[in-house]
Amino acid sequence: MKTQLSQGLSRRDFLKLISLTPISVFARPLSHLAAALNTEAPNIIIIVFDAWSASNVSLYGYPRQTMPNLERFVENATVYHNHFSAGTFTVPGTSSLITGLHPWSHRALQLGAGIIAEHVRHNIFSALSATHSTLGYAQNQFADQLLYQTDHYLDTHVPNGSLHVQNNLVYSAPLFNKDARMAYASFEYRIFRKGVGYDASLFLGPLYRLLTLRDRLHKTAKYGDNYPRGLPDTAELFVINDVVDGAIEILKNIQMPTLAYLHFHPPHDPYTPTREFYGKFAKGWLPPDKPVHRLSGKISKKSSRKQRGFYDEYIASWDSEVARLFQFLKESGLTQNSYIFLTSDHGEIFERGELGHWTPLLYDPVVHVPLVVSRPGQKGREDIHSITSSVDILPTVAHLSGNLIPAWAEGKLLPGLGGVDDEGRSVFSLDAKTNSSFTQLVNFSISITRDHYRLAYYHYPKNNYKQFEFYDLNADPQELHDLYPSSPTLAIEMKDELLQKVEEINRPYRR
Amino acid sequence: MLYFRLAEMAVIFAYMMAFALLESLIVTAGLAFAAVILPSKWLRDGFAYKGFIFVIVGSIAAYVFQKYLRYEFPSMQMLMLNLVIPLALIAFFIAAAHVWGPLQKVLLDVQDRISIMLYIYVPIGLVSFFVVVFRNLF
Repeated sequence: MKTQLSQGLSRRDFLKLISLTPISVFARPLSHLAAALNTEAPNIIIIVFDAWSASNVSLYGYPRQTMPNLERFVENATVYHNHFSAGTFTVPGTSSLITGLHPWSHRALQLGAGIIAEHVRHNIFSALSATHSTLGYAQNQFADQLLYQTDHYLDTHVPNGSLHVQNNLVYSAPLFNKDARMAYASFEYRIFRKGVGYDASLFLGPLYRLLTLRDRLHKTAKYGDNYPRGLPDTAELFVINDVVDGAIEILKNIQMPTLAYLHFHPPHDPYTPTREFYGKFAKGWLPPDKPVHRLSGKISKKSSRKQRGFYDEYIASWDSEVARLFQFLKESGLTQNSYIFLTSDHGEIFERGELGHWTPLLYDPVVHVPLVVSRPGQKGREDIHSITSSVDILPTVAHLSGNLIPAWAEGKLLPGLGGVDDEGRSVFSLDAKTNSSFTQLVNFSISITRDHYRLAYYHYPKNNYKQFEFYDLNADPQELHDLYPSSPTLAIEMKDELLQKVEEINRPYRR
Repeated sequence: MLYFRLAEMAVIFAYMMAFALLESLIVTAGLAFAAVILPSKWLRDGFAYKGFIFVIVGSIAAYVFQKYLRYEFPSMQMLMLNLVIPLALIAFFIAAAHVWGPLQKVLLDVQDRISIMLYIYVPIGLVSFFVVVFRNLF
């Protein structure tokens, strides 16, 4: 499937290039900005891999060799070993990344939700718009919705489907560019529901479904040989090497200095590795058994292990392809003049009766995500073990680009990038997907991680379940021994801090 | 309801109503076109009750058909069944209404009462259409 330049421009290559034409169409005139830009300022390139858990990455000690190419990339980069996402799935996780706010502030708590109106202008693109050209691309449609919300501050918004082999989402049609969020909520969620419930469109809905399913069949026949479990799918089918090629094309064309936010779908489910990695982890190391959590989906151990294997294979496939992007960053000189951030919006869990990330559970696999930062011209690897949060990226990026840190940003500067190690720092993660954005939190999970301890609070009156759990992550990294019943002093102290935070979150919403 | 404000819900409603109007126009135009090209006895004569049977049976068939369109393209057999059965039912009801006057009268009465809804549906659809156009132009 890989393109060999020496073989000349094939029909496939030509089609790939054609697929990138919308990028130029969507690029807004940059002339007004050109005069203001300081070409000495570094680029900021934020690369997000969706649903990428640190727990399944060899760089973070996972026994399966899932990402050898990432390990090579970090030979000249800084690895953050204790980085946590503020949210547990794409919407809150990505919103925290791009706003620098916790989920209780941006209130994008549910699937399909957006950042609330009062915080829409508080984002990473607005924070850098005075000094940098801004570019955003998100393969995941929910993350793309958030980019549409911040569209006013994006000079270039690369259309979601432009790197896919299938392009069938109505909202991303140029016709709806000015109202993409409402078009999305109307078309993709109600008028055409694509197999989830019934379409509001009685006649054109089934016809559209029929055409889309036929297109999927044809695209799978055409590109699926290298994907034994089917083509990668983010509501539209794609081929991972095309996505990497597309990302390279996007980065080739950036003007200095640019803030580029690239949000890739892999290794998000469905886990569809290439043939080379298919079955790679079927044998060998097995994960430890963990008790089934009462709030879990009660998935069987066998099924969890099987899906974990598929996930690991998909990570390895992605690593193999994204290696070309790492190589491009080096060869193009971007590593010399750019800060490059690699991170994720949330993790993925395959234990305790749970699968994926649609979960109220706040264990390490869900909230512990990789963070790797390459400074311009960095030589050698650095390792930082301080506790950091996804809300720290915005203030750090503002600082690195020579901008003021916005007063509304809730994070801190990352250690090694202007910040200092803060031993007593607490970072929070929240899941409140069944709550309203406009009322106090009722059913939710919140965790506080401080030093090497985590206290999680599961507050689900609807399930008649209110429980604290407390783990020592150094002595018990698998979070198997809940220390809360023995009431250690630190747990009580962290509980007070956590309950105070919950009170603070809910106070403005009390009548 | 969990994350949209009232104004946003109204906009989504506008999108749905504008699309529904467009879809209704397409279906009506399709029927009118069929009436023009088919022999007049098939559809043009008694267009009101025949068109009504088409729309009612077609709507139910389309609703049922959605169940088979989930994640995989249906088999040719399934596609044919979902085409042949509704067409056969339409032919049956048209023939029945043609030979049995009371059925035809009932259908026309129901259709007449339902058509009152157009006085609400069409203006809402038109306003919604302009809302959608306005939001995407400015």
